[in-house]
Amino acid sequence: MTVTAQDPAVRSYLKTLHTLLEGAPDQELVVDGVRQHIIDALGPEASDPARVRDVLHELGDPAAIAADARTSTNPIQLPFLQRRSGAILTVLLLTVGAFIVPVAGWIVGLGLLWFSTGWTLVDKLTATLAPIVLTVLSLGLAYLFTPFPAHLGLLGGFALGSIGAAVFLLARFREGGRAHVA
Amino acid sequence: MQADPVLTNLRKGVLEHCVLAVLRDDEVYGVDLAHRLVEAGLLASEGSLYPLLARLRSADMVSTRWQESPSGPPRRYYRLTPAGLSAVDRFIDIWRPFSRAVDTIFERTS
Repeated sequence: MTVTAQDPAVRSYLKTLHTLLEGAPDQELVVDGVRQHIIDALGPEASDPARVRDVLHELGDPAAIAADARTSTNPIQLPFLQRRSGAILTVLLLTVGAFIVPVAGWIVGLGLLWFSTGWTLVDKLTATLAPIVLTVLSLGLAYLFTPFPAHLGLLGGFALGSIGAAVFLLARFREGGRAHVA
Repeated sequence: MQADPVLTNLRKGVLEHCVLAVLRDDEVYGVDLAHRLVEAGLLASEGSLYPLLARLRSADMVSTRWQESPSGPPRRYYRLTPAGLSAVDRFIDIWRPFSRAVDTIFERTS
């Protein structure tokens, strides 16, 4: 949405801020936020020079805002396993990884799953046991219906279980972690 | 007036989470958010809020939406994302025992 600030003092303030923020992170977001603040703060008194002066004074020196933008600490960064990208890696290891590096890929995926706080204990148990239970069931069926090849039962059961667990995990993941995992 | 360097450093350490905490229960538009933080003594000037909000938006902790205003042009409202909510909940869990520990030390030495 385009917003405008027509007063010469406002235009000058925003232009100075924009120049001072040259090369700083989030330059456009900061200027846009300040511009919107001015418009909201002025409201229907947008043409009153005294009100404009007050609003700009309360905002503070553009140099101070630019200094804040340049010197502030890093933004809050979630640990990798609490971010969506961490969840996707975990799920990939539990599915594709298990077939690329048999057994080891799946075990590493399990390690990430159990260290993550983005899932509850019940979620973790379900995702761990589903491929095992389905593999055992498939092997049982393969045994009952011989000459159905056992390795197809093994692969089919595990694939079905791990894909189901992956869909379940992605639906249950909560970015940033669950405060009280249970 | 120049703020005490101790106060400046303390503000820097908690301000992002205080912004998230204000947004925890309801979405708020920028001017209102700035007024609340200045009144609480957490923000030296209203303009300092915007570099911080820009960072929180870039980190996907805060999102925005436009809403019609009864007294002027539409306003941009800021609200928490699920990641922002988790971050502030985690900070509160850490902050409470930490501040109690600091208070306990100060009470013993005063």
